[in-house]
Amino acid sequence: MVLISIGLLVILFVITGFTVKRYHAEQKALGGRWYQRGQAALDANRAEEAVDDFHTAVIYARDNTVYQMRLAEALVKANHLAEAAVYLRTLWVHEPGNGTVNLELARLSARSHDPSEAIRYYHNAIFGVWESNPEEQRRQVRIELCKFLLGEGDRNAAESELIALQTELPPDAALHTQIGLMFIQVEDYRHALHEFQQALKLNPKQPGAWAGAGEAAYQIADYAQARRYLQKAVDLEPKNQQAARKLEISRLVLELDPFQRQLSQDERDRRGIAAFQQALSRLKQCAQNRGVNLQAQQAAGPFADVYSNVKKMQPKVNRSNLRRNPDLITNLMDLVMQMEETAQQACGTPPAPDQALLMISHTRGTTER
Amino acid sequence: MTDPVKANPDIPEPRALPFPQKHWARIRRRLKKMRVPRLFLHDEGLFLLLAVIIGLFSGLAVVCFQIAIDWTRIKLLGSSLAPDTLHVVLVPTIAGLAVAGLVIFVFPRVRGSGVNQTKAAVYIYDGYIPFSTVIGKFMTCALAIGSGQSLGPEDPSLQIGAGIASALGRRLHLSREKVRLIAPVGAAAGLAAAFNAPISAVLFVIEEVIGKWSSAVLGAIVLSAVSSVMVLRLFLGEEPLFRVPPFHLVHPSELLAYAALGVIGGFASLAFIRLVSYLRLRSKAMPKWTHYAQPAAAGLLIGVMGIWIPQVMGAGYGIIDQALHDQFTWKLLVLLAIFKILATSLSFSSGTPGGMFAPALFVGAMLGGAVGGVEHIFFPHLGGTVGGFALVGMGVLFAGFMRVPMTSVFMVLELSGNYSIILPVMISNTIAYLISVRYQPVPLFDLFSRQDGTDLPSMEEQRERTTLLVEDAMRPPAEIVLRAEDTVADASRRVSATALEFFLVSHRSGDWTSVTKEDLRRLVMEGKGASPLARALSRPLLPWLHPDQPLDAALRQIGDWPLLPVIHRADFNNLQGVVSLADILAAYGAATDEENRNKLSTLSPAQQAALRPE
Repeated sequence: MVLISIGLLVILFVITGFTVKRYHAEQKALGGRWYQRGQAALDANRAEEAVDDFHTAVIYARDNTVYQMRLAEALVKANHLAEAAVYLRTLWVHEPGNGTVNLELARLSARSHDPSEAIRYYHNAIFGVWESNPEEQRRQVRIELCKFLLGEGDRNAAESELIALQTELPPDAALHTQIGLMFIQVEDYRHALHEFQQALKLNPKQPGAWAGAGEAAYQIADYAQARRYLQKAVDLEPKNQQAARKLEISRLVLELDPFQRQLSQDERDRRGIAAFQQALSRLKQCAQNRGVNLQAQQAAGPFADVYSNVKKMQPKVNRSNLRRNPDLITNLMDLVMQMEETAQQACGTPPAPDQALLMISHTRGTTER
Repeated sequence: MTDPVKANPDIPEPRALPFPQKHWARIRRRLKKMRVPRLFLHDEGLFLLLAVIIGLFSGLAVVCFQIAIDWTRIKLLGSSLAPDTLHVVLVPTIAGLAVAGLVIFVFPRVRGSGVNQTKAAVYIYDGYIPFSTVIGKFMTCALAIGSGQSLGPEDPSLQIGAGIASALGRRLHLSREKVRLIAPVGAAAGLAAAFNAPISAVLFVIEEVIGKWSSAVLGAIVLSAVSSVMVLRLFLGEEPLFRVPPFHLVHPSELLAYAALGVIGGFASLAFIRLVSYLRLRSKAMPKWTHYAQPAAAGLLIGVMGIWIPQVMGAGYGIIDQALHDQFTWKLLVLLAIFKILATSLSFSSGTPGGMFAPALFVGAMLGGAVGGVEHIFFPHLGGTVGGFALVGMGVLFAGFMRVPMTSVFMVLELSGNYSIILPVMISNTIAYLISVRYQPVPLFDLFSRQDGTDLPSMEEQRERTTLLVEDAMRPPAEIVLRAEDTVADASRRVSATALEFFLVSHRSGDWTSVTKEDLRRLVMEGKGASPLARALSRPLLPWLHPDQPLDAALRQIGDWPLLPVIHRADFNNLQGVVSLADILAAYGAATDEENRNKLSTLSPAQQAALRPE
């Protein structure tokens, strides 16, 4: 009887095996069918419908992590964040090193305004396992992390991530341009310029890269380079107003700056006197617009101080004095900066020549510091 | 008086079993030829081997049973989670008619959940469960659950396992005692595979079917449960019944919310027990012809419910899984719990075969999730997960509704695989269990068996019953106690004033003997008055008792002795009391009276009146 039992057991094992095999095949097919429906709904932005379909798919294929991932994505899209988090955390428990799961959890934490968790999951995703094209995936995650950090206003952390990212960039002009723009956002203009230069080496027909390089050069006060890059940017994209304005300012800086190297004494004095007259004209115009009489004994607020300095300086502003006293040009340009700043505070954004004078003053101040 | 077996088709008819020992000898000879290790040649070894075989068969049966339920559902209702209205209403109704036909005409013994039927087999019919019951249970439950009746597959799996074990035992011509022992072994295997949780299954069978930790079957039960779960996992994978979310207790104050869950779960269990037992009694009392239509009527009502709340149909594992993952609002969860109680009560009381485990888990998960959801709204800083509450809720209903407190705790631990859940589970389950016991003294399964006209042993009553001790029967040692050093004359003088005839004699060694007044008188007449009692007496030593020993021990030892000494455990000469046969019987009598009074108080006034003598 025992032998019969064992024999019967073997037969039943075989029959059950076949039955289960067929059952699994049917379940798999059903899961696949519901998954496709869900995918179609998700592609058509019908997130709620996709959630139902993926739910059904997951019931028929409980082990299928792809279905579960899609379900979690659909739940995120349908704004069922808590539910999506539960699914993702369950997936995470099984595969803590899975890049996709960590990325989705990071996004979820970002949406739930939990930056520390988001950064943790982003880093897990960067160092996690990716099934296909891992380098590209990791790069994209780091870019996303940078964007997130920029959104959070954490420039230092974003800059660190960008520097790490810079070392592993492939020869892709668009990518270099994108990273360059992000470096500009964190105000790391030298790294930004480097990235735009790399982009231009790979593809010189990118107006964005020319404009970015011009902006970066402009910000580090390399106006000669800025003019060159911005000129190219404007040539390629004439509608780029910002680039055109910065080009104009760069050109004016180069024309007006009395501290430029290799200028003759005459030219320096001429530029100093021209700068003074330009700034004075702007100050007067601004005072007039604000209804302030500069000639009056008691001129209003900041105008009074600066105008008294102007009146002291005005008799000295001539070529012979400037030649006799080499330090006068420095004092003169300090006053120019004072006038321009006062006018800017009172009357807002100055015209290009005055903006150029402000840039010259700032550059000199930075250099001296 | 009507014969309960004939009156009730749930109970199989008894059958005389042959038990010739020659078959054991034949098996041993064959195994010897097969060079099976020596261990297995002993009876215990063979029994364990048989337990493994039962586990394998039960595992296979449960795998097929689960597939059959799922296939039936897909074929009848479609693969969608929300089938169309026509299917939802028609399928359970028509399937109900088919189930009624099968139950009434082909398999009359497959009614009910399967737990009481297995207990009846063990305690009334020497483990006999006809194999046709296994087939019938398989077919009718697959059809009923697959068509959307609100019942579960666990209790039927338990009965299927027990039926397989019983059939194997009979085919192997095991002794009557072994067949009786082997049915719970199969029950554990069936339940373990259905739950994919061997520990819970073993505990449930011990707590509800056997009622004691018997070393004779414990090993076999464990082996069969493990082997059946292995088969299930081999074919259907390692995945647990539910995907349980991670759990951690955020703050100790969260335990208050779990205590509230225990209270709510306790009262929900009460409502569930009362409703299902009331409807079952009413439907049984209805005219015979309605029994053909009752499952169909229940199916129709559930189908109508299913138009708006399809979640209440079927076993509901998918819905429990969703509740564990916080996919419903707390209001919907409450609604689902209420309608599930209603749907399950309708399905079960209509006589449709199917289990109560899954619905209990469903209701518990929904209530737990609802409490978790409310906690999130009003106490967001506590930060507990809804999944955690749903998980604990399942245990709460198991404790309050099924009344298996140990199983309920271990079931949650086994399902979650997380030890940190133990505190909330213990608190909630204990509260729910105590509420249920307080307001519903008779447990669910005992209630069903009494409704069926049988008196199966109540495991809960056995657990709760106070064991009578010697101290409950003993009297204070007011009698004269003689010492072995006393002379016969002195002893005779001391006892002459009393009307008693029998006296205890204490020896320095801690032994006790006895002497009668007549003995002393005779010894004095023989001229031995100056002799010490120890030398003069030649009576055997008296057996002694301790106050904390069970009263059964006193009954076994008292024999023909009119009195036994009850002595201190650390000082054998320190007499704590005495006990006689009359004292023992009086203690038993008092305890029985108390028990009967309690039992009577659980009956309805009409039942009490019927029992009262004319």
